Amino acid sequence: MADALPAPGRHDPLRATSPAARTLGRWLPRLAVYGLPAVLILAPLVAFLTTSFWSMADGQVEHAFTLGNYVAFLAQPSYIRVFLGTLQLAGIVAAVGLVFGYIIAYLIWRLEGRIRYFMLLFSVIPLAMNYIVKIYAMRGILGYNGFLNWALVTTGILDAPSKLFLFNQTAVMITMAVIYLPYAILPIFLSLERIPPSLAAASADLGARPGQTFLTVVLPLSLPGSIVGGLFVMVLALGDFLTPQMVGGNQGFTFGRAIWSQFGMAFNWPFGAALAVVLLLAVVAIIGAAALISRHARVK
Amino acid sequence: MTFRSLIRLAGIGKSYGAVTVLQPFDLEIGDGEFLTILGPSGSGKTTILRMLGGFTAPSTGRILLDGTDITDTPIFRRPFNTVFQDYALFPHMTVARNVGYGLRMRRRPKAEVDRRVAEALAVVGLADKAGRHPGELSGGQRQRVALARAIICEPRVVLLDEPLAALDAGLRRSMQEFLKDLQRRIRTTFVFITHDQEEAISMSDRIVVMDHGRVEQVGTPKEIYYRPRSEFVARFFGENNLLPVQAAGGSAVDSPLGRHVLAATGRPTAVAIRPESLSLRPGAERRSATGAVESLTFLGATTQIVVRLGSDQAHSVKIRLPTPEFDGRADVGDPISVFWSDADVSVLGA
Repeated sequence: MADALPAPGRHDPLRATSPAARTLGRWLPRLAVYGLPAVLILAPLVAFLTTSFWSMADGQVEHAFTLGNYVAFLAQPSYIRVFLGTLQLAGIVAAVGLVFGYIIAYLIWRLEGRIRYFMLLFSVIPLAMNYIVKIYAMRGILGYNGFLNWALVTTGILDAPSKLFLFNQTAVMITMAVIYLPYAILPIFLSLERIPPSLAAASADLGARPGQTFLTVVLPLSLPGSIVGGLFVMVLALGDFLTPQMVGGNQGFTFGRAIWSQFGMAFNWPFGAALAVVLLLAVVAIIGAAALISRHARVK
Repeated sequence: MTFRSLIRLAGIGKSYGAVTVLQPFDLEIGDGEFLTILGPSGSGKTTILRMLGGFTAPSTGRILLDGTDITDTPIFRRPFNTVFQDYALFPHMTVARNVGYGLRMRRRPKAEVDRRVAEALAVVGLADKAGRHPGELSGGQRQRVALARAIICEPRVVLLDEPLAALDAGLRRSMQEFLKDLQRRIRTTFVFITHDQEEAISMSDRIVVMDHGRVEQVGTPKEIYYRPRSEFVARFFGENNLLPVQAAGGSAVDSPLGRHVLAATGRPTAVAIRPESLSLRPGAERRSATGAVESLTFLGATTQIVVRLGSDQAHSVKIRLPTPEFDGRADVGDPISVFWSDADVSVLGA
């Protein structure tokens, strides 16, 4: 039995690697799994979180902990107003995306055969387009000589072209709603697609008219996923500073633009970072709500 | 039970473009009957159920309920309810709300819905699960919720689409008994789809045997078992002896079991006799043939004897005898006489 036990120093084929190599082999994958996200995602976050607790003095960043930036934000009603206004704007964009996205996704979902996936693909093609190009396209539609005015004047709804469609908060809202619509359509379509066809059949079999089936089966089962899609749009709209800048004019001032101006114009990076942290908290809260909704929808 | 026709399927068939999935056929479904549509997958049995339920429109033919044409009546107006293969319970509703769904869609008063839901749940033995969601129930319990939901509106016909397919063998057996018992209690017509021959034979009043989109035979389980009309039906249920035939002029054919006079039309292809219909004992009005014992297999309660028939011994038949009746009568290679009654021989057509 003696040679069943490996003698010290003897080569054991089952333990071909040294203990050090084995330890490394155990830790390297973990390092990759936890380390890469930590370096690539967490580090930038921590960096700007840290920056938000610094301050500016004579154009130089003061590396001392202060809550001053957050106090300043809370003390200035104009910032609070812009923040709440942006939340409201993003909320409206999300609601519009949810309603129109649901209608479009539902109509596509009801199609049969090849046309169904063609229409789905068609409706999300804008996702592949450059964002700036889309904004310019919307400017072309909403402008004084744009398509919208032309259509309204031609049909006699307006006597003369209106300047009300561009360079204000409404223009920002319309543009965001249009640009972000595909982001709403996809998750809504997927949540409709997850409903087993036999459920609608069972509903009809039990005497429900198509409208009743929609209200009692299709809508309740697809709503949680659809709301999550709407919240996703809200998150996108919250941080957008380019759309307000390009179609919002002076009236279309949003929190994203406020942050951008702190970094790009005022060069007050700590205050900009603090505003960005406030925005991040709002986004995290929205994502948390979305997670709660989808978890609640799954416990069945 | 006297047969009173409830549903008439008049020449209904289904094809998708050039592909025929169900050849036109006629069928009467009796009031209060347990009718099973049996066939391998792809035989068209589900298509019949889907047309009855209104999920698919037939390409040809009409469906009549009590003489009224309901071919074009939409699903939600048909007095039929379905138990789906995957049960199709609404995952966002409790058991009670699932079961009461049909009544709520018909806008019955809440008190009535509550009372009838409680009754239906009691019938299927799930009174204590009313507040659960389908996801919290076992397969067998879900099955019974689906049943309660399908019978609560007192439909004229309950359609069951392979409802037992997903259950394990033990549960399956008890659900078979439960279903049969339930059907007797509520005296409602059940149209039951299955691919399981034993299930069909033990549960049904009548069986419709399907193959390749064609109705092969309609009859009581005994008729289907002992009087098959086609080779497919003869082979589909348990063990059978199929022997070739030769035309003998006129309306007669010859087989190793003698001459048979054809009652029905159609080209005869073979004759069939069940192993248990063959005997080693002579009797009144019994025919006989001699042969040699090819093999003996003790199967416990029964013994199987394979006999090669005739002088050329070209065909063998299996005989199944209760073991005490057989015990030691013959050995392999011994000459032996086989007896049968002509009434037990079925002539099979193409």
